[in-house]
Amino acid sequence: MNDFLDGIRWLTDSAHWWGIGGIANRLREHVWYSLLATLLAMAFALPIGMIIGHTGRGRFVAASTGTVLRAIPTFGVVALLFIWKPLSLWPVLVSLAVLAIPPIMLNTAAGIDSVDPQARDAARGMGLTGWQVLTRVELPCAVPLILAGVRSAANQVIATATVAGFKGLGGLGRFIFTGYGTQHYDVVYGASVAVVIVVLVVELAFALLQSRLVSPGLQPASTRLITRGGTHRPSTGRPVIEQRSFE
Amino acid sequence: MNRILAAGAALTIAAVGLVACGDDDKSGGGAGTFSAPGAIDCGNMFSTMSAISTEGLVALEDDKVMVPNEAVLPLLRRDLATVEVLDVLNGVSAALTTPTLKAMMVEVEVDKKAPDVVATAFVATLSAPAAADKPLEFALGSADFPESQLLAEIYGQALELAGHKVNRNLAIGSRELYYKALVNAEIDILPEYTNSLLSFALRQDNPDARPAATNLDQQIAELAGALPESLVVGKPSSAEDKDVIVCSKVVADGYGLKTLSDLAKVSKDIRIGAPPEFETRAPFGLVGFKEIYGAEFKSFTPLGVGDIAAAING
Repeated sequence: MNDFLDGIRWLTDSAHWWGIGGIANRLREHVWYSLLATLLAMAFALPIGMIIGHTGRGRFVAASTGTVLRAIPTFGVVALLFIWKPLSLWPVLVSLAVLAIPPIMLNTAAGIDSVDPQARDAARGMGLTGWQVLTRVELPCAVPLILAGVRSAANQVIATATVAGFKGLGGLGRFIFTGYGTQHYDVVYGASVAVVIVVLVVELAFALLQSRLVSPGLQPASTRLITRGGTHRPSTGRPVIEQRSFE
Repeated sequence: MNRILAAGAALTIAAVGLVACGDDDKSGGGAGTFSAPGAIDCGNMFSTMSAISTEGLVALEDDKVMVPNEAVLPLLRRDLATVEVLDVLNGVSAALTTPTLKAMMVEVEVDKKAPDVVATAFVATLSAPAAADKPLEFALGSADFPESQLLAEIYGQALELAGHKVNRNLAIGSRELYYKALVNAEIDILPEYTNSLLSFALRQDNPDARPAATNLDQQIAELAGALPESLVVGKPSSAEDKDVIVCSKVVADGYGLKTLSDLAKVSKDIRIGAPPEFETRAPFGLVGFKEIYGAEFKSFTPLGVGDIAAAING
């Protein structure tokens, strides 16, 4: 407990914040690595998830691959890739992306998969092409789940980006590695608390983003920002699409 | 929705682009006359590590003796250090030399043989110890690196040959951990290194204490006073495993480096890697380099000893 309090003291002492080895710079590096890794994961996971969700094919393969990827120990990947490109960002980014791809890919696929079949049929019936159905109906309806996937991936990535510090790079993990090696446990505690704070801040940012990015029709009634036509629609708990019956 | 898609495409391009840029972050090494291959130029390894030769690295001579002797010796509890037991342990120490230790480490690290198998082969070459009149029971410990486990097996198996019972509790961890276990009698015996053990034992009473000893005999004499009453060391072997600074062949040849004094002359161009404690530890560390050799490095990267070879060559 004392070490923990010392950690808070270390973290809140402005003497430790500035300079190249200061908390501010390490924090910047940490967020930077996490951002790059999450973007890298999204670049692969979003398109694959969309294809799986839209075509309905490869779901089993995707789920199995996702499970395998999740089971890979991040530290092992970093250690292996370190031999390939030591002290570069690649070992860390690739291993963090491996961690982040499954939740994004599976959530994207599940989000598109769970779009109301009636809405999809209606869109087809109106003459929309497969691409238009994906971009105008399926994706907007899947945004809440996709965001949830990115959010959970980002959390994991931020917490795990500490491995960078163990392999000669920066980020908040550097304090944990150095603090442990030199037996300055207050530094280890302080840096760990800093990582938790970053995760919480990012959580909050995603919550805000969700309220802005998700179509009003998909928001739960209580958080709906705009009411079209001035009337409250009863929330059905599932995507509300303008539906016209041709039957 | 096309906006979201466009954003997605932009994001993909940005991500891949940023990652590619990120890779250019590392600063180049060398003084411009040649280009150093790795992410660091020199680093801290242990002198018996087989990677020094297999990776083609050059170990620099510590010409001003920043690191005193690091002779291998057994550390055990006094209540078990009978004449019989010490005879067995001293017999092992007498046969153990740096070349034999290095050869055994090649078997462990390169040929991937188990430490206990390599130890058995070595112990078989010793003259068989006399059977103990009074068989004792030992809890055998070791630090969490392969050489320590190998040495523990060597001393332990020699005790077994003499008829003692040995219970293994190897790879305990760092000195902070296993020293405490030894003092608390949770383990009875493990292999140690003279300078590291002496420095650590002195620090238990005074965090700033440093060894006065500069040679092996003085170390043994100083250890007698520094160790607690319950602990005692056996005779040291001539086998040593020291902290060394190694450099890539390109850097060593390019600057003409043979000793640490040579390194000090060009240290402003040298990127060095070592475990994090190197930053604060004395004498072997950045502090000692400045005090003893007047050297200050271009950069310091905290890295595990096992990562140094890859970082120098990668």
